[in-house]
Amino acid sequence: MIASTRDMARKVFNSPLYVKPCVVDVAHKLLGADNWVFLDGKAHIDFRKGLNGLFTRRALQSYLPGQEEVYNRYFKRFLQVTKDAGGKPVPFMPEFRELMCAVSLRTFCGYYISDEAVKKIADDYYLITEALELVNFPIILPFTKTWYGKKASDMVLVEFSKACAKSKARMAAGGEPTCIMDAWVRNILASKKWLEAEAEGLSTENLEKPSPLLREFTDYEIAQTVFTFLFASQDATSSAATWLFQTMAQRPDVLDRVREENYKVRNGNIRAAIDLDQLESITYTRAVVRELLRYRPPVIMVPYLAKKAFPITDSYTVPKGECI
Amino acid sequence: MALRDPEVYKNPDEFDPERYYSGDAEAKGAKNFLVFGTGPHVCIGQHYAQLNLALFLGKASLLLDWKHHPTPLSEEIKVFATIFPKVRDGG
Repeated sequence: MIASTRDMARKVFNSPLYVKPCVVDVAHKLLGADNWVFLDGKAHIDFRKGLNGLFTRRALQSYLPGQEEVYNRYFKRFLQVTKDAGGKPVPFMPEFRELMCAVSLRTFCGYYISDEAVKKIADDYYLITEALELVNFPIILPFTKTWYGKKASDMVLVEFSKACAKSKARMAAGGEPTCIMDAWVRNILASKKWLEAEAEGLSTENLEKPSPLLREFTDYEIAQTVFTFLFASQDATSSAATWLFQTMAQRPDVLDRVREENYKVRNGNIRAAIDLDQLESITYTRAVVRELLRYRPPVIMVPYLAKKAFPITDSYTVPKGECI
Repeated sequence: MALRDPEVYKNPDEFDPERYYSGDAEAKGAKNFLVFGTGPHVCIGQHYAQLNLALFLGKASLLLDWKHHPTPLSEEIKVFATIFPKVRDGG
């Protein structure tokens, strides 16, 4: 059943008692059947609360230097690509997929992941997308799309687990967080400290109390969760980036205004890094992004599954087991 | 349909950042902007994602200049998990 009007779509999104997100079967095999994205109801809400600390303003600020570094490096490379091509046009979408993957990985795993691993993940990521897109054969057979997809996702999970172990070591030594893994590990350590102090009846006056308090998470659990962030961001952000460039090239007046606003916020130094306050202050650029997402929305449908008979309107009830 | 409702977005098929800069699209379309979903599974990274795109575009505007060389298909849409401009037939 297709819910295509605004209010019908909203009703589906807001009826967790009746529906849950529906994924192709192979998703369980690629992401791990025990992945948090497959949780439902209270278990899902509780796990998700624990992730909020990764997206606070303080956390977002700590990821910015890493994002800046990746953009600087790739934009330099783009200039070289054009130079090498003698100024002739080059297809840009694959470059953007790699760039967005590299930025995501820097935000997720900081500098715990090598440039070679970044390149490998960016190259292999389309195998995962390809494996998940089709209605696939239920058993993973060698040399099929799902087999390549599974191999690629296993490789990503191994890299992420290794990165997480490094983050734990660095955070334990008192390092400053620079990525999502750090922010998570930091909250785990702060929670532990708080709980230990409370258990021993010590003063918690000088301690920071994370909200919510977190339990321990294994490297694999964190890797699995961060993998879902890559999964959620890679295709959607690559799409938005590609359309942004195409749309700006076609509207030089809009691009000029973006350029002027960004020049101003950096006080005329085109290479200056900006902080979160400054980034939030470039309201014209943000309006361009907002409008682009309306004009070319990267996610065009979200499949849900009816857990039980779902009376979506007065006159129609979606039968249990139906995909919406 | 939510993002192309002419009652909420005048000339919905036109790209016009003014509707978010000086216009009232944010307030008027509060229920329509389902780009990141809504409800218990709403995108947890939506703020990061949008600021990241603003950083990307802002930096690119200062460090690069670019031209688009259209192909007969580049305004058409290819669906591969998400949407991309078409490059060639079937791809």
